[in-house]
Formats: sequence, structure tokens, C-alpha cells
Amino acid sequence: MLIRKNYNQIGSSEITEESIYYQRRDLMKLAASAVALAGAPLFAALSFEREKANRGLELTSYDQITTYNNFYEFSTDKEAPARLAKNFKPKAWTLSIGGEVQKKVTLDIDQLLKLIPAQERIYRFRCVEGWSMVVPWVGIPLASVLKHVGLTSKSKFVEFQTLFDPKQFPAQGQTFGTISFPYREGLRIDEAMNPLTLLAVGLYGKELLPQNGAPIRLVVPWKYGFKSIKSIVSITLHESQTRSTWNEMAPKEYGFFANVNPSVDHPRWSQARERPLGRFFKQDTLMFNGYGKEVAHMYKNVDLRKFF
Amino acid sequence: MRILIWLGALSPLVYAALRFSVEFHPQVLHDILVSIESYIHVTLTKIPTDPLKFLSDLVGNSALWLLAITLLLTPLRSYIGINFLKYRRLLGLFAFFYALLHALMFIGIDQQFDLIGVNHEVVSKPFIAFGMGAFLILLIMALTSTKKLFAKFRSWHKMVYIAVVLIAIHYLMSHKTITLTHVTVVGTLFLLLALRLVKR
Repeated sequence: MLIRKNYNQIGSSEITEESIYYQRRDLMKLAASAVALAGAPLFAALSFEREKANRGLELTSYDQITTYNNFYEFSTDKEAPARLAKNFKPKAWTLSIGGEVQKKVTLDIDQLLKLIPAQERIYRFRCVEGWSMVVPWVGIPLASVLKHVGLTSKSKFVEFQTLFDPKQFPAQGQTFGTISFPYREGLRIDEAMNPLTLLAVGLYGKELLPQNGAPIRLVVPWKYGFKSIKSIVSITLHESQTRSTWNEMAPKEYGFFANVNPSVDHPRWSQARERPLGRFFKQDTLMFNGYGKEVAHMYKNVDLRKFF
Repeated sequence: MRILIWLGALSPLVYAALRFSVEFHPQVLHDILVSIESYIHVTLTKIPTDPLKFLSDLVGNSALWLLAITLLLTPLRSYIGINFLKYRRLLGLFAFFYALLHALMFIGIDQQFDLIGVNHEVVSKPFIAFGMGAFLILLIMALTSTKKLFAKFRSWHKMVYIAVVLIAIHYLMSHKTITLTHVTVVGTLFLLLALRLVKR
């Protein structure tokens, strides 16, 4: 009882922080335009179109989102990436888009944001491990990017790849106790073109921190978190199904689709419920993480038990 | 010595209380904790982000390490000649106490005391079955640990070897990847078993 009371007090103070966030945003926009005028990035704020349809989701705190990270390129310890990310350089970055597209391009993040204006998306995020959070992402729809490069009749799957650089990602130099690098993820083209699928560049109105996948990462809110690949350097379109790191590591445990599904358990633990970060009680996990209306039609003829 | 064992064995609970009461720490305590944090990479001044996972891991690991210490007492006597065997029961019961908390978290919080659900998980998931098997062995040992019953059920306590093997597998399976730390922990458990087998 005592412990719960303590916990509640923390909770309320952090909720205050979140409510201020919305007032602060106008200030940040001002700051962002000031930075644009000065031409020097003093302040990592972004300009973006604000989310209109907040589904009444309670945001996870900025501190929790930025200090509890599964980012095996840094470490398997969730608290370590925030500490180890200090030498990471997300500024000089290019994203290459190629493969089965009409025109191959290589862009930096600023060019991309000039091409496609950023918008805010408040999404649930459900990790395959059983914890969850709600994140106010800032990003651009992947569909807009793919339309920009132009699809062909052979654009059937999209492969994403994380930066490989053991100097910046210490665990990429390790040979034991981690996954294979570079990290790869993939989507079917209809999943990639779904309006929910986002390439995020920020959260809470600020540029992404390295531990959250700076400077650009995928967000696929109806799939388990490991599909939402971080620090992307290349997007390649293919005619056949693409690779997926966790799926290759343990195909019986992590599917290529990895749709959030409370009725299909992980072989070691149940997926029926989840632990929202910062809370003492579990809550029910929703089919497609609550995005069935937007995505269920893509899996009408798919046996979700077989293709988990 | 007995007091030291109590303090040591209860320290995980003290640590948990410290982590969950961060908001109420007096300034002096906060300053001390911050300076400890700067020397070793350990979080002391923050409420755990994933509280249920934090508690489940904490009590599970505490059970594992207390059991390892319990197993260390016999080789300690036979190889080095230090006799702490009179504390074995107390340490073993502490190991069981943490295993009980760990199991109760699974039965109570994960499964909401739905015993059919618990049974389903045990039957369908080897990971859960290994953990539950080890817990049942420790339960039998705890229940037969009084002087009178121990005399009668002494041979049953050899089941602890099975429990250690089950715990080692359960521990390895609880992570998404197997790291050097995990291998070291399991290696330590098997070393303790080997020391006893060699002696025989």
C-alpha cells in the first residue's frame, strides 16, 4: 500500500510534465523558426503538424521513453543505450532508397523533411517482451516517401537496414551474446503503404535521441516493437520477401509479420496482457494493438496463427 | 553471523524499497545515492520504469543466488574447512522465500490467481514448466525442513540438484539472447554441483 502511494505521487508529477508539453509546444515552434532563421541548430526542436485525433491515450513520460530502450547495437541492457549513445553522430546522415523503384535517391534528413512535412502521431507501442508505452512521435508517412521515389510492378516488399558502424555502435563489435548485425527489417508493400506506417524523426516535439533510433526510424504501431527498426541508412524495395533479423535468429519465436495479437502467445510467455511502463498493473493487449480498423483488412485471408 | 545473514538476505527487499521510495528520500540519502551511482553503473535514484519486471527479476535472481550460497556451504567445509553448515537451513529458507515471491508474482499478477490459466501455461510453455518444477521442489524442501521432518525426508532433499538444473535452464530461457553474464551465472551453478559430485 505504502509503495503504491509513493508511486502515485511520481505518476501525478509526471502527468503535469506532459500537460505542460502541449503549452510548451507553441514555444518550441517559435524556437524552431528562430533556429531556422539563425541557420544553426541550437535547439533540437522540430516543426510539425500537431496530432488532431488523440484517442485519449495517456502518454508515457519523456524520461521513460528515452531511458528504457531495446537497442542491441548499444547493449542488451535497456538502461545502457541512453548512457552509451553519447558518441553517436546522427547529424551527418544519409538515407538511400533503392532497389525496385523508379528513381533511386540518397537524401539527408533535412532534404527529406523539406520534401514531406512532418506530422505528429500519438501511437501505442507494444514490445514483444510484454511491456508497452504511448509515444507522441513526429515523422512522415512512409507512403509519401515511397510515392516520391515511385513504385513499380516489382515493388512487393520493403527492406530496411540499420547503420553498421562498430565505432558508434559498440555492441556491433561483439561476437557473442548479441544478434547479427546490421539489423534488418521488412514489410509487405501494402503494410509499408498503410497510412499508419511512419518514418519518425522525433518524439515529444524534439529530434530523436540516439537511444530512440536517431535520426530516422520506422514506426509500425500494429506490430511488435522489433519491427520498428532504428537508425535507418537504407530502404530497398524487392520483388520477394525480405529479411528480418529476429525472424532469422529464432523463427519459431518471432514471425516476419509480428502483428500484435493477444491470442497468439510467444512460446515462452503469454501475449494476452501487457505492462504499461510506469504502472503496477497489467492491461489487456488489443488485437493489432488497437489498430484493427486501419489494418485488419490487409490480413483478411491470412491465418494469423501460422503467419504470426 | 546470523544477523549478517538476515541483513544480506533481506537486502534485495531494502533495495526495492529504496527504488520505490525515491520521491521521499531526504536530501542526505539522495546525495549519497547519487555519489554511489557515479562510481558504479547502477540506478538508485529512479523508480523502476517497468515495475513488475523489476520486481520479478529481483526476487527471481535473489532466489537463484541464495540457493547458490546454500549449495556453497558443503564444498566450503570439505575443501577449505570452514563450517557454516548450521546456517544452511536459514539460507535455504530465504532462497525459498524469494522463489515463493517470484512464483506468486506469476500466479497472482500474470495469471490473476486463475489456476486453470496457470496449469495451461505450465503445460504449454517449457519455460514456465521448468520454473514451476524447481519451485515445487523447493516447496517440498521448505515444508520438510523442520528437524523432525528433515530426519524423515532427508533423502528427498537430494532433489535440490534437479531444482538447480531446472533453474539454470529457466534462467537461460528468460532472456532473448544469451550473454556472457548468463553463461557465467549458469557456469557457477554447475560448478557448485560438480564440486559436490566430485567429493562423492
